[in-house]
Amino acid sequence: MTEQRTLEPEKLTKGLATVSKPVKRLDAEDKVKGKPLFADDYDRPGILYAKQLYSKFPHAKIINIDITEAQDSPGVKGVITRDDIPGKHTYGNVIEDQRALADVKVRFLGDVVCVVAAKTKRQADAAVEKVKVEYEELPAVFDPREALKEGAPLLYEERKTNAQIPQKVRHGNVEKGFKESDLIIKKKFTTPFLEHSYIEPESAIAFIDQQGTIRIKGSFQNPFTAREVIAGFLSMGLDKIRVQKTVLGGTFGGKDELMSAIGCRLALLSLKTGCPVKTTYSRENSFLESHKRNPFYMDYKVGVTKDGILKAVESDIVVDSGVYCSMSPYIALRGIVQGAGPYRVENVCSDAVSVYTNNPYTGAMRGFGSPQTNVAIESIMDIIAQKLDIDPVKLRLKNALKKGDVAPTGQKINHEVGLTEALQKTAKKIGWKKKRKKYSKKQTGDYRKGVGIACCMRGISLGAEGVDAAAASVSVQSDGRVIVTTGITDHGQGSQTVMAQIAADILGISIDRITYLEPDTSLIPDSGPTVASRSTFMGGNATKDAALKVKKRMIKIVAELLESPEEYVLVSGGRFYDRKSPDLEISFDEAVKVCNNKAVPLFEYGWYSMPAIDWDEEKGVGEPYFTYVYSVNAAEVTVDTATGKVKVDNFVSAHDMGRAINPMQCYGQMFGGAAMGIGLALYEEVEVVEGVMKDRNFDTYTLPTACDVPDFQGIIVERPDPEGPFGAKSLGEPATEVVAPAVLNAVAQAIGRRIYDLPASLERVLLGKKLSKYKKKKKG
Amino acid sequence: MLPEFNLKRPLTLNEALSEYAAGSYKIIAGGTDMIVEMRKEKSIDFDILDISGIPKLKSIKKEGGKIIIGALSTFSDVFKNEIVQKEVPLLKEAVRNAGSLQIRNRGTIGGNICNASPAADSVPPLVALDAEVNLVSTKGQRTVKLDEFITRPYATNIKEGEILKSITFSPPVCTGYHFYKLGRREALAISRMNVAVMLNIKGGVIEDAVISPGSVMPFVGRVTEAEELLEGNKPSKELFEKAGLKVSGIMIKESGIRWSTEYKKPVIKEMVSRALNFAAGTEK
Amino acid sequence: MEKLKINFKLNGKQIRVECEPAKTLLDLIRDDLGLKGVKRGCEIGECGACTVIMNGEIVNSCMVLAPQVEGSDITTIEGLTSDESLHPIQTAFMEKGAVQCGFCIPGMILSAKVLLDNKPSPSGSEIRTAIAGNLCRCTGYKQIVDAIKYAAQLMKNE
Ligand SMILES: Cc1cc2nc3c(=O)[nH]c(=O)nc-3n(C[C@H](O)[C@H](O)[C@H](O)COP(=O)(O)OP(=O)(O)OC[C@H]3O[C@@H](n4cnc5c(N)ncnc54)[C@H](O)[C@@H]3O)c2cc1C
Ligand code: FES
Ligand code: FES
Repeated sequence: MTEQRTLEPEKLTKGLATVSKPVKRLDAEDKVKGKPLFADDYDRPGILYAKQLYSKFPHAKIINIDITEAQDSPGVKGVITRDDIPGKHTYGNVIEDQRALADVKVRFLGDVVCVVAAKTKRQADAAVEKVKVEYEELPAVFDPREALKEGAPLLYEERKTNAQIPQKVRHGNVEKGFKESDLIIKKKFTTPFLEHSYIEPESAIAFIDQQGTIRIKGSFQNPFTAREVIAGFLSMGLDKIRVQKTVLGGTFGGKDELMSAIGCRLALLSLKTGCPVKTTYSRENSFLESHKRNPFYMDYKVGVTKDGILKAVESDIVVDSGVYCSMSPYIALRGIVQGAGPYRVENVCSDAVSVYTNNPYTGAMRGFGSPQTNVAIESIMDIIAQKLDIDPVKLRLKNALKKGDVAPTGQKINHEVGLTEALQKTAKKIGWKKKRKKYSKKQTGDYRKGVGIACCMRGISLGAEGVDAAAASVSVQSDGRVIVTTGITDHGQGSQTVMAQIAADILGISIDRITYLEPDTSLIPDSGPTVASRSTFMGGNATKDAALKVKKRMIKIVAELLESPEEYVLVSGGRFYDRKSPDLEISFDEAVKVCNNKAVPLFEYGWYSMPAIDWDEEKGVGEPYFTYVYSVNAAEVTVDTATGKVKVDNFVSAHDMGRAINPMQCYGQMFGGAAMGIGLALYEEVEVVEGVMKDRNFDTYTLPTACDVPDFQGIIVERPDPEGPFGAKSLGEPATEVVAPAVLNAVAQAIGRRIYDLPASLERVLLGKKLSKYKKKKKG
Repeated sequence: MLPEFNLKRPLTLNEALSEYAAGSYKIIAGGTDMIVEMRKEKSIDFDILDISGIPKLKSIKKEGGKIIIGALSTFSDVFKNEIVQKEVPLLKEAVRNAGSLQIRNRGTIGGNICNASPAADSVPPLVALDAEVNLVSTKGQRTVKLDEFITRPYATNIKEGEILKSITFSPPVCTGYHFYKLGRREALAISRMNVAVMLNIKGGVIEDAVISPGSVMPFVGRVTEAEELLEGNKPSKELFEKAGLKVSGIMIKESGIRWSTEYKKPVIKEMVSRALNFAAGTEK
Repeated sequence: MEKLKINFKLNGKQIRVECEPAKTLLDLIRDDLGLKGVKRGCEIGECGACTVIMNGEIVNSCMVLAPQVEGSDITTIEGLTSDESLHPIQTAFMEKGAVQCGFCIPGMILSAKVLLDNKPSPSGSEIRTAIAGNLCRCTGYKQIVDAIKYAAQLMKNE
């Protein structure tokens, strides 16, 4: 057994048939048969294929676009440029700066100037080459720290600065904190551009249905956002556009703004041509045009007493946002809110600013800013441990947040905190005491070993990042079968199954009676984006709400029938019964019939909106998230000190996720997140030189293979949250956000030297620096 | 998407040779280099001669004391072949970790050689084995030593109309061997550097030593200066360290200082010395 | 460009198609023959989403030209079992939670099948080597490896 839960499943699941059980995914059978239709699997008669033309320069004015030759090219049915946009040119969640079609300027090499639609892919490819664009090259800036300087080329002249919306966290008085400290550590860290690397590239198809509604199916992570963007672009009503997310082959935060742009272009082309229009990205173009994980440039200063009590954390962070803002300011905020660790720190002063550059744009990727800052704070914790000669686990235990403590943002922690338990269990599972001691003795030979640990907290859901609400519906059919829908999209993480489990347990029926539908944007209220690991919490609560309403109505009818008081009537195992006299019972199906005969509707909408939070962005104080989850990861590594090669031999991932609704899927999240974190720690980087992306496919962008990750171990810690559905909070992002520092801490123990810049490639581990075959142009 | 081309698929070598002489073709065997390359182009000015259907080129056999590997033998064919396993385990080890299983099932030894990538995993061991390549065209046959055949990275002296038919070498006389591949990942990794070594130790003395690195020198070939340093001496860690240092020094002499030198210099030294230790059984 | 006639066996059925030469086996199976279980992820032989079984061996269908399949025997995920029933590997993948987004899964299952056909009781590291050419971004491979081990057991009990 490599898996472990902290409470006996039986105790947790008393009376529950499916929640907390490793229920098989609803879509598993289709998926093992290769049956689900992903976006590129859709087709329509008379289809056209779209192909986009990219910018030739990282920064340039567009003087003229000549499409005449392209238009006359064989098979071409439509060409669109900035001149064809019926509505708004710009969109964006935070700052409206993004363009589906470049207008005045191009700002990076992934900007799209023109799109053609032709009868075959070959014809589209050929035609797009015939578009003639006249540019006037502009000076460009590629380093966000340069971009902040006076006189740097401006991406958006009207903004007068490349800085976006500065974010801060203020708590206590850091000066005082540093005065009270016996040891002050100052360090700099950097992280690179990373690609989400969903294995399914972006794809969508648009057509106009008989009612004149524009229908778009595709790999949309956030269909509601896309619909709004497309409606604005076309200047049409939201009711005239239906966006249907197809089965997603992964997204991890990636299939967002670019999918909106693709939706705009396809919709416009299909309006212009009257034909269905489709596009599927090559991997190279997916790399080029999609957003990346934000590079962070981090300056940290941490003060601690000689007993290892954290006194102050100060950080100053510059975030490369690339050409578009996307979610960068909130990524920066998330980074600093969580960037002082899950510790009692009384004095915090953190600033982060995301900055425009002519690099590829960056945005949400699993973890959303905290994987970067966790590297910094958790590395520093180990530096402190070493300097003070305190065991790293003990140091963390000393400072770990508990219920009743005050978090680094000044927020009082009112919920149960499983951090201490997770730390202890993780240490035990990896064999911390013995190994740490053994590996800290002088090691000989080229192969050195180390163990490392790291922990974090994560604010659940959107919190200070936006208004948060979700919808669901539960509809009991006349034969007793149930259809559940929510506006939450399943990216592959299995949220469908979780929603079905919740509905099944509330209605007291088995899960195989439940069908889960993912409606398009016209059939369910806007449920916001599926981001921020909010699916289970938000969607689950909405589902719970809907199911409870239906159940209540059924109980009323059953109570009349059984002549029992309503409060005595329970439902489980497919039957309603009187808990005082269990012989009084009626099957779920019978009850449905009775309700139908009495014309009692068994359909309900559920709605859930997040409890209020209170964050003052100006001052950087308040309660940015209403509750938190806690994670601990530990890694054991072997480093070949002669070549710089690191191998992760063992890895333990522990999470207090509130309640594991589906443990099997929870482990899936943990292990998938751990592999992604190992990629961040050791292998992955999209190298961008003077705005030119050097890694554009999986040949040079190296993802971990099955041989590069160990046999992961998982620990589920459960501190049910009163607000969460059956106590559940979240897990998707925590699973990946504290992996890299655990690995880096292990590497540091092994080689007695620390890596401050990611990834810890062969060269960095051996030489302490990166080597690049790409030369930067000389300045001036 | 691939650029457009016409394709011919001859089923005999003679057919292939006359077709090749008559048209403007490039050869495709397993396609694992060709398809990747072609996909980068919008259009190409040649047609494709697919030789993968010629059964004769796919055999591995021993004749007159020599091992003959047909050019179309895949990495997997070589890995699974009994003669190779028994007589040249060095080669088996070298192809074990090339690409993924999917790639090993398609990629051919002939393609690996003709593509002449400095990172080609089958080349250093074959050079170590003093292999010769047998080339045929409508004009006749010729045999060239592999280290002369590959002239520079990605370049060979193959002539117009020539097809690589097979690779020949004598089974090595050695007491130990090793193939060391260093990649960025454990699997599916292009060799950052690699090295094939063989040692023949008799009565506690190294009689013969072969050191053949890949992605290290601007050419393929053995590092005779380092080999000579070993021959006639007793195997020892210190000696192997010296040999490693020698290879590293020659690398710098031949390639000059490049972006990667700072890394490669200490690492190739270590790789060579480790490989020799493995081969001699003095493994550290 | 001159079209070519190609004969091959696809999931047990003899097929005869006419196709442009500048197509990969992946293009042929997915786009022309409509078997969508073969996935396109990178088109350069790295991701393994396009894996099919060719004459008993796994290959990346993006690394084979369509005309090169002449006379071959190709199996895709659609042909894993002759009827609609589940192969033990499929059952194992479902039960062990090895499936997340599912995009890598058809290729992964075919790699597992060839492995288990040749090696009924593989070790963990043999399994990992056998699927190293199938990238999965969702699962971290652990539950996939466990599923393949479990499938080996199921197949033995059959
Ligand atoms: C994902 C991936 C991973 C890889 N990993 C590795 C690795 O780890 N190690 C490694 O060494 N290689 C690796 N390769 C490269 C490639 O697989 C090998 O070089 C392979 O041996 C090429 O053989 P092929 O038959 O596929 O060649 P093809 O692509 O068919 O041909 C390659 C070249 O050789 C010519 N050619 C082929 N056969 C002949 C012949 N008989 N006569 C004349 N000319 C001929 C062709 O015209 C072409 O120029 C990898 C490739 C990919 C796609
Ligand atoms: S699509 Fe063939 S290996 Fe990726
Ligand atoms: S399950 Fe998503 S890539 Fe493997």
